[in-house]
Amino acid sequence: MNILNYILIRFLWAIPTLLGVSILVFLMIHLIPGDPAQLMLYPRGTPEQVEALREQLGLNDPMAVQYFNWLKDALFFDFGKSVSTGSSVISEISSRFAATVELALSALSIAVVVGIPLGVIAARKKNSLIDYLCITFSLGGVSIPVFWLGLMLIFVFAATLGWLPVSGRISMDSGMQIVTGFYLLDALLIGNLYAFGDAVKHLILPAVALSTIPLAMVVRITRSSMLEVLSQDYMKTARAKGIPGRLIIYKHALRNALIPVVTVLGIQIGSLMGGSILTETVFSWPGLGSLIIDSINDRDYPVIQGVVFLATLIMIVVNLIVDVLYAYLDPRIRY
Amino acid sequence: MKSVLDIKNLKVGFHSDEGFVQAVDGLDLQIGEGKTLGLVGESGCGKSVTSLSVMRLLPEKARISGEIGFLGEDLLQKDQKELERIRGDKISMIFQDPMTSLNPVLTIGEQIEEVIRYHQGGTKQEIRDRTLELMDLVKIPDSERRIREYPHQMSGGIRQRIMIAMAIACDPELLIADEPTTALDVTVQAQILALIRELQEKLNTAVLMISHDLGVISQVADDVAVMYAGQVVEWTTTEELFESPKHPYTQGLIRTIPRMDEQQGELEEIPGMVPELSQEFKGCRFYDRCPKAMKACKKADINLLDVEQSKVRCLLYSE
Ligand SMILES: Nc1ncnc2c1ncn2[C@@H]1O[C@H](COP(=O)(O)OP(=O)(O)OP(=O)(O)O)[C@@H](O)[C@H]1O
Ligand SMILES: [Mg+2]
Repeated sequence: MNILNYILIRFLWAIPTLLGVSILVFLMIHLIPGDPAQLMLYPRGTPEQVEALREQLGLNDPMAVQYFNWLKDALFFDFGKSVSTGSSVISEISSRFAATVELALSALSIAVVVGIPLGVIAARKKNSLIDYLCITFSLGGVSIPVFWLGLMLIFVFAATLGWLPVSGRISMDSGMQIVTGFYLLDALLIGNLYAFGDAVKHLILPAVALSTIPLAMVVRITRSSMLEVLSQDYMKTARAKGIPGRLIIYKHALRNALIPVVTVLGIQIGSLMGGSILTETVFSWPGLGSLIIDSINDRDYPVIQGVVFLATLIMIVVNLIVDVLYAYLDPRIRY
Repeated sequence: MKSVLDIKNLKVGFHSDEGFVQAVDGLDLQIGEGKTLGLVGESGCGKSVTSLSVMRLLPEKARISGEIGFLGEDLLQKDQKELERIRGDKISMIFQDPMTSLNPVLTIGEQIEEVIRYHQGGTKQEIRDRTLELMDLVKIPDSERRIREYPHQMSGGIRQRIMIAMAIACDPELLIADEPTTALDVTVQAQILALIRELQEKLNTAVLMISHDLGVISQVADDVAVMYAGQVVEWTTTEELFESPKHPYTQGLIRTIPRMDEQQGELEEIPGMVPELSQEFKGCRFYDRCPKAMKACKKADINLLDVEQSKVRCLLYSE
């Protein structure tokens, strides 16, 4: 099977998943006991206001009609209006979406770029000092609570040393103009290097905090899977062919060793998003995480629905990417 | 006759949980230019350790001493860089299990090509042409298509042919085959053996053929060395070995070969177990299992004795 067919099939498989999730997200608003309109307006809603909101949310229609109406709009990213601010949900979300993706991608990049070489080195120098340090870090790293780490980072690097800002994405005076919402990209697009540096400084602490758990995992999995690969028969074959040491590691071993790493990373994306809620809260990062916390507090169901739906979409896309990566790395899946 | 491989007093040991294991203990072997030496013995007698010593592919913890002469140079004195240049170019190796010996994520073509690219170089096209030529040489059908495929798409027999293609890619002086047919089914075994024999004659490569199966050895080897518990106990021409086996262990081994032609009752086996290699030996290592054991056998270590054209480690032949 050719890789494009493979991607297409994976893509088609994503459709039922998305539909299933859409039903759940839609039902969310109906599963809570009591009248959603009343709950959203609690404690101040007058009966007229409640009735108006019911009408606005379409709560008076039959359930199936409500669902299809909701889905039809959701497919165009129209999740209605925020109950608390009155502006459209998608405009609330889109300004936050880029912030979250920027943070998550940075954390993921740190985990991959630092974690894989560390894991490889630890495996090659098994039982050396660096190996022990890596093991200790990978065991300790996964058990550090993100919010605690975040607070410690703020305390040390922001509050005490003053090297990095405490919170937010950018300084008021940076001259930043928003183009795409991805600040690093935007700063480059408008050619403002000062703003770029400022955005990087804001990004470092939350990205480091968020990356710790995936980094620890990547180190551990890379190390163990590398050790396993190094003991395989085909590694002996490669050495018997006279392939030089470095090439053996990067060509023959790493590609095999990365297969489980990609799997774990794919699974980790979920908790990365969970972790990003905590991280965003600690660092006042204006992303989807803090948005969902706020909207839960406000019982702003349209916003919650929008965020959950979008988060699911992200997960599906990420899983798709992971599957494709997987197929690229491992021909046994492709054929 | 010039010898390609000349092993003198090779000793290999490992520290393990059961103590120090002397896997190979004072081994002497020679292979002449273009000749095939069969190395035979039961499981655990040190055949693979011997072959990996020649390749210098033993784990770092292995304690190795003696001399492995290859074209007049001692392989034990070579550093990693020099060894990398020798492996795959002048000495190459085929392993037992073709199902696990090829890299699952690289195409067949790449796995053969890299040997040529690294040792001989050439343009992309030259390397590809040479690879296709090699695949034809080892009789892989449909090489144009196969070259782009991955190991898991092929049978064990084809994979072993690919291993052979990689091994002969640079026209090596010495080819080591460690149980190259053990993991294959019988019909394929015969084809692979025939192929190795054919290539060996065509390329005039010296071959070290390792097997626990004397039947396999008899088909391909010019000379045979029989190993027991880390030592050579008999070393002679293949003809001589089958016509007049001298060491009681060799005699036992020959009786265990299944024969089609003659009447054979129950398949015989050698009674008793292979000794633990972690012990200190004194005298003959086959003593406990030997039908002709004498008191004197246990008294002192026995050297390889010249008996007719054979070398035998047995007191029955000492005057
Ligand atoms: N890396 C190692 N560490 C410790 N002991 C080893 C190691 N490699 C081999 N040995 C020991 O050396 C002895 C000889 O092993 P070897 O693999 O050479 O046997 P063999 O003759 O090839 O047997 P087989 O027919 O099963 O392949 C065995 O007792 C084995 O346990
Ligand atoms: Mg073996």
